Amino acid sequence: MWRQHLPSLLLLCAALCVGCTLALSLGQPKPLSAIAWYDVLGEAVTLLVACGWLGLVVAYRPRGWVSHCLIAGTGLLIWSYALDLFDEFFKYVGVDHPQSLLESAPAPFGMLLLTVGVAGWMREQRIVHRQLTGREHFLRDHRLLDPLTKLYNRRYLQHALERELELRKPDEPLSLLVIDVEGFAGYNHRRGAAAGDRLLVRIAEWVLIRMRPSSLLCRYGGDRFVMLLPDTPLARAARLARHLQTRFPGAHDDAEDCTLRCSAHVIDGEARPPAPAELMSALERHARTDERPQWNPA
Amino acid sequence: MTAPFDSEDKCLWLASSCQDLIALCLRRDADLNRLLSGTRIFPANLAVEHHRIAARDWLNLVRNCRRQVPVDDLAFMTADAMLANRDHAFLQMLQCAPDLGSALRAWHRHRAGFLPLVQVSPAGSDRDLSLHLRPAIGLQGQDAFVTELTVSLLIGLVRHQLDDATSGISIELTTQRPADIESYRLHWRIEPSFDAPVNRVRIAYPLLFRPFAGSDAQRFAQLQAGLRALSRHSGRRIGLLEFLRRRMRRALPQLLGLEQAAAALSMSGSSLKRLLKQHGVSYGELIDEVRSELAWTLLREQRWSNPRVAERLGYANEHNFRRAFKRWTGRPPSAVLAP
Repeated sequence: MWRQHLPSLLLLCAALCVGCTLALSLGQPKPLSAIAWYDVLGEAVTLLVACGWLGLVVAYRPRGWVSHCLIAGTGLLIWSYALDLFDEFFKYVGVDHPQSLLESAPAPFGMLLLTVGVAGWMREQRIVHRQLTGREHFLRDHRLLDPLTKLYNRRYLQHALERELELRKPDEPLSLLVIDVEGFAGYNHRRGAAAGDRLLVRIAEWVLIRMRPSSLLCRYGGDRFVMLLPDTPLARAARLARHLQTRFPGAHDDAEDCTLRCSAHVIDGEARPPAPAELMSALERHARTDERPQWNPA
Repeated sequence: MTAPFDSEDKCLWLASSCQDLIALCLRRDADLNRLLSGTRIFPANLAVEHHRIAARDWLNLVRNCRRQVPVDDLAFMTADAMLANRDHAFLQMLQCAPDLGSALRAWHRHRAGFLPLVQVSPAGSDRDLSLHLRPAIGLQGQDAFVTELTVSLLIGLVRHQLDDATSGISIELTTQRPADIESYRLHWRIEPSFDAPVNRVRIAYPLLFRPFAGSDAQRFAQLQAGLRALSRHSGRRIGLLEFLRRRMRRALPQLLGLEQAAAALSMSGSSLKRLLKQHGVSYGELIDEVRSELAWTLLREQRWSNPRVAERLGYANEHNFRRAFKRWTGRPPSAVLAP
């Protein structure tokens, strides 16, 4: 990541070199007895922390205006703090020496730029979070992520189901959509595991942009996905299921004879909802035998 | 006689399966350097054709992969990837066999060069063929992965070639029943039973004779000839534990002594003891294992009486046999005679 920021880093190094040469040429070294070591310690730590910020930004952030603001802001701070540290060792003659202007002027601008950068970062986080809805509900736990599709896995679904069943009001139907990729094993076998993995990722992306933000899509395992649709009646879930089934072949030309098979289920009314574990095994049985699950007599 | 296959020995199969495994993990965001750390495999080796990898390095790689990609279906996915890999001569050969029976025979014939980690021993009963899966060398804690991989290869073969006809197959695993068994159901379409005395796959006889969808007699013969040539070149070596088990079983009802077994391997008794310790077993455990497996088969499949089994296993009397059997399985012999 840091290579992307190489030009900015080089610029900062050049500026620091200029600062050092100025300090060396304009100032006179102080005698050792005149150096306040506590000040040196405090200023050095501040400088190091600012360098640490720069390191973090450079190591973890991709290029973009937010990163530029953050790098420029920390750069100015580092410049300021570095000259500050230098003047503990060098004495400048005169009250309004140009060096003291060079030293104190950049700091406020740096702070300003940092503030703008952090504000931009927060907005960016909000957008990223919006991208995550549909993949994530109330819980964030990276250990439950499926590393391939970046959807949450079966265990997360179980947590989400537990929560939905607990909070559900009697007049709010909770729908579930089981999405199976039919013929996936054959596709995987013919085209190789890498192509199979790519297809799964594409299917996950394709389904994600077709669902409402309040729904949650999880990878159940293998070639099966499960969508959780809170406050959605069966008719609506079934409509989505039909939509996904019919649109799939047109959207994926190279999927050969893979098709999506979606089945919708609902838990509604006053009926006592089944425990999530039961629900999952009912779904599993249903998917294998194509019978309607027990808990949905409708 | 060639020496048996040991952890430090290299094998072609391990290399090609490790490529599939690594590619799979890399697609799941694993870091190549971490996958290869401590394995003596270098990224440059992976590109070399016919590069061989030692069993110990392969097992270390599996351990790293499981750490880096902590999903519960890694073994199943690896098996799928390997079956789909056209460069995998051994598995391609199995897939163009005329039927499952021939495929299993070919598997057994070529196992030495291509699947040296597991001993697959067949035993027949009047209803089905049962395949016992045991580690052929010490598997350094990766026993469950290797077993799942082997069973997945078998199930994958059946699913692709016999159109998902997995109903004639049942699976027993020695592992504890995990909290979540959905991966087994999703990938195998079979619910295995757990806490079994031995890893075992049972296949109903009719399934063995149903023709494979991808059957191709000419290619089957070609690939077999190729594999034969390859294994002649690299030596046909079965795993150390498999070697010892076979010797012990052949010696029954006499018990094969440690010194005798060591002599067959041209080493001293204490070296053999030390070697076995590296593989995680003791000589006595190995003998017990062979006896208990044979007892189990004779009682359950052949319906022999207790005194006859005791005699066959080299026990002085029936009483000693019953006590030993109870020690192995926790149950008396009469309890395993299921209706």
